[in-house]
Amino acid sequence: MPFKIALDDLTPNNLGVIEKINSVCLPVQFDHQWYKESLEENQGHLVKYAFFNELPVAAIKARVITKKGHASPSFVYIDSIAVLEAYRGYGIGKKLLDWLVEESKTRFIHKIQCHGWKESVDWYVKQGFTNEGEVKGYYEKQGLTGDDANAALLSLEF
Amino acid sequence: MSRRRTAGTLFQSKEDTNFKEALKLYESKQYKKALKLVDTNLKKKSHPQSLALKGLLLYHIHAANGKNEDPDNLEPKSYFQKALKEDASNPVINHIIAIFYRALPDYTEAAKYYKLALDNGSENRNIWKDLAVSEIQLRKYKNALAARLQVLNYFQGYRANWTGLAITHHLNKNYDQAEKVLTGFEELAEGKLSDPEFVEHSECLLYKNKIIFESGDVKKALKNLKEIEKTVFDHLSVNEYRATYQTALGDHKAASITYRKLLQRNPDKTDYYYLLEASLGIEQSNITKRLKLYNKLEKFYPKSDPPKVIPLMFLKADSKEFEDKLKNYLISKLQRGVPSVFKTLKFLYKNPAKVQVIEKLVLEFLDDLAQKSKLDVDPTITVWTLYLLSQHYMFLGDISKAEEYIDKAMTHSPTLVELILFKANIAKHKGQLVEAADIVNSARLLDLQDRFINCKATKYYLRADNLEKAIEIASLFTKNDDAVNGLKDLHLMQANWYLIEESEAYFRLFKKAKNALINHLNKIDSENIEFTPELSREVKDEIDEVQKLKGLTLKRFNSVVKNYKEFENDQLDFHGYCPRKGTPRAYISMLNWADGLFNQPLFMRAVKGMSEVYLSINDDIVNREASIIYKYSEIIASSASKKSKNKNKNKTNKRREQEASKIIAYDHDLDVFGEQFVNTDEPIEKLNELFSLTTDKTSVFYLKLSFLIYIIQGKFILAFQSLKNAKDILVDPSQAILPYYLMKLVESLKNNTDPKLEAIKSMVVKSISSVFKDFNADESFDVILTKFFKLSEADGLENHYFYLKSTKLAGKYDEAVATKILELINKGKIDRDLNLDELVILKDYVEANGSEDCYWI
Ligand SMILES: CC(C)(COP(=O)(O)OP(=O)(O)OC[C@H]1O[C@@H](n2cnc3c(N)ncnc32)[C@H](O)[C@@H]1OP(=O)(O)O)[C@@H](O)C(=O)NCCC(=O)NCCS
Repeated sequence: MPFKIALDDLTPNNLGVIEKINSVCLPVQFDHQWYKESLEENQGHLVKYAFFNELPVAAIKARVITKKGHASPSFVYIDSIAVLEAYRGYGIGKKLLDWLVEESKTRFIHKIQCHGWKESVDWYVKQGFTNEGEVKGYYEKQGLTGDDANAALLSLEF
Repeated sequence: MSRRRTAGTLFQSKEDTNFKEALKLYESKQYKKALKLVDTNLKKKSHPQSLALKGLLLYHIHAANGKNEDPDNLEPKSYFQKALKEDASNPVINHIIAIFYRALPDYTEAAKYYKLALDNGSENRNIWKDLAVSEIQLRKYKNALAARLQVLNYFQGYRANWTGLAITHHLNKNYDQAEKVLTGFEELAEGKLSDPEFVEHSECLLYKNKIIFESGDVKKALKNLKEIEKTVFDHLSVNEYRATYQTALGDHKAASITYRKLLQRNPDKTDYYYLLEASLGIEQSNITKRLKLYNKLEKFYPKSDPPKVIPLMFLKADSKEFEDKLKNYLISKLQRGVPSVFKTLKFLYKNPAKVQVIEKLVLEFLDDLAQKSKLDVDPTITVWTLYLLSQHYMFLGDISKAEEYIDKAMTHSPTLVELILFKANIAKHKGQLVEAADIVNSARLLDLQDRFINCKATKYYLRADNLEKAIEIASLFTKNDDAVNGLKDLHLMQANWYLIEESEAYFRLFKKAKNALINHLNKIDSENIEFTPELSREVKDEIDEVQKLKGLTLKRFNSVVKNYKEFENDQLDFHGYCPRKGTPRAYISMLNWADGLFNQPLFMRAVKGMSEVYLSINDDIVNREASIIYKYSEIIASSASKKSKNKNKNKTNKRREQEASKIIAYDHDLDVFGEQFVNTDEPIEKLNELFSLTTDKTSVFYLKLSFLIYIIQGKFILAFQSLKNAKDILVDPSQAILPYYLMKLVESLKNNTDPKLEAIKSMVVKSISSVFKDFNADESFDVILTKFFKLSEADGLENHYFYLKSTKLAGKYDEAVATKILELINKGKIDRDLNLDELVILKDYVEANGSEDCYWI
């Protein structure tokens, strides 16, 4: 079945949508301020929505990270990617990630990095990331229990 | 304004020159400059025309600073009186006064002075136009006709004046004359019309055609339609008129052909289908024939809804055709994810058997979806199906099922705003107003740009009596300029939806605060609590709060009334504009709209609310001595020392000023807190004034309120008449309120000691027993009530409600009935006939054990 999937921007008026999507999809909860910061310009925030038949169902939020003392950006870090459960498996997550890859490339950044549960890292691996292994205490720091996080890395080719 | 002099004068006095100059300045709105000139004139000797102009100028200068809102400001009028005293028959003075009254607006007076100006020899022929307009505004069509005849007489060269006269004839039901005037111009204009005039011409031709039809000569109208068809642009009207005429003449075959033509133009208009059926002479009961017709029509217009939906109405619920057609329709809609399916199918819900078929089909459809593998299904179809089921159960009053499905839907698609709004709706129906408001607000956060959701959230907060949050949200979409919030803009924009909701919220808060105050004072009184200065201050604050809320209630309700008066006033320009623009048909329908203006539900809500407050103010005045609030107000007033009074006053003034900035309604508002309304000594007069605006004198509300007013005024015959009329239109179970009112009438008759009224009173007593045969004032209320109204276990909420209300009104409170009501509400058995506001109030009222006053009168 052909479905209409489209991407759109974050605006001050639809900020509540990513908050909603993340709050029902992710184990970690972020406060309003954290989301608000992504509206700040020139701070390297990369946020995009995905719409399924006009309905916002997914969002990716990432940042361009420049290491201390470096002039050019070091990598892109994915803060969150989430697709509402009923809308998973339709290629929406992939579409958002593809967008991020393109954005990174236009900035001449060679790496995308993220952390995730073992299960979601499986998904990242399916998208070409390499599993960099467990990061001890990563979730503990965020007040979460359970398995440790895995780091995943995608190297971009030009 | 006339600058012509009645007699040609060679030598103009200095005063006259000044006056002329002042008039010019007036016309260019330079009121202050004009006033200076006029004042120079008046310094030395008397110049009556200048006196009159001064009145008019003062009015306009006051308008800029809000002073005209003050009913005690009689300054302009005093100048007119002086002017008239010196020269009553001066047409210029008459004219100036007329202009003042028109601006006020008081059209009766305006018409009077226009007429005087003319009678006194004014040669300003434009006054005839203004007179006509004022008379039409007053709906004095006969007087208007006289004026319009003069207008045409003087200004024959303008089509507007011909059209205007024809309209006025039409309004007087002089159909022949109206037609003649229109034809008169057509003949004059024959062959002389330029291109841009043809639209107006087309409209006037259709208007004339309509008049011919209304005169009763349908044949002539049909013939005329054929003649004008080529010239007229509005083919839709031509065909609609034609079909109506053909039907009226009994030429059904021809009518059916016309309706088919109309269907081709617009196959989505349901009416055409019914009218086509009627013209084909198909009997309503002949299902086979109807089905055949609609099957055909469906093939012709496959994209249109009506041919698919109408058969669902007449097909039998247990027939296979019904199920098939419903299935096709429903599933195709769901598959396209159309959110409004429920709305289009709502009309089937009167038939429980059909409702069952709907339920079965939708549940089956949902099952099928679940069976399919996930990626084969569009998830939005699933969510719209869940939504439909929730709406379905809600309509049936099964709240827990409705909640179950909306929760499922929201888990599935938490970003879908419609779902959240419906969830809030359910909470509202359960009387959880605060929760409901927060739910809508969570939808608002998903799309801050959406004005619709913004308004919804505002409204829900108002229902939850959270005025602060409501205005905060509403202000995101208003023009706030230098104001702290958008309240002034909402007034300026005449946002009645906001104003009425806020009025009602103030009203609830007022009642709550008043009850709390009374309870507090009763406690102090009965428990002999020492009335310390601290307690005194506390009580004073509570009293002030009650007064403030009462004032704001009336103030806001009144702003709605004000807006409606302005709507009425807005017609004025159109009396002249429409004939000029050549849109007489639209104009006539606007007049009809305006005639029903003061019966519109929103306006009636304002009247209802204000009338309750005014009646309670009247009660307070009558029962002052017995009122505990009054008692303590007196104690506080006498005990407070002058010094502390002043100190407190300063403090309250500061607080008030701060508060005022948040609730001010208008620029230059002289009465921000509505004290002018609260401090009235004549609440019944005020109420009567308001009440006289409504023109529908047959509603139950009208009768009840007029009854209460008549009782207060000691007009017993009229009071009885109201009850008698109410009896005729009230159907069970609302008749349960009658005994209470009858008892009230009997009581007032007994309490009235005026010997002059003896004969009238005994007549009313006799009439009561002859009209209300079941009523015997000597019997106990319970006995009377059971005669009027029998309540059974199985009765619904509404019946129980009326019963309870009736007992409560009579000073009793039936615990058993109250318990039953709560039980029904909690079970979610919601009566369709009881609207939601009433339900919520009912719940509050019952839960508070009847301590709160009944909302309804
Ligand atoms: C991870 C997630 C974003 C994937 O979104 P999605 O739209 O369902 O993914 P897609 O449909 O684009 O999947 C693309 C491919 O990955 C596969 N895939 C989907 N979920 C997978 C999983 N959990 N593990 C492995 N592969 C998976 C799909 O089958 C698809 O394969 P294909 O390309 O061969 O058809 C989504 O499942 C999600 O929101 N999970 C919860 C939140 C989360 O864990 N986020 C990541 C940490 S921030």
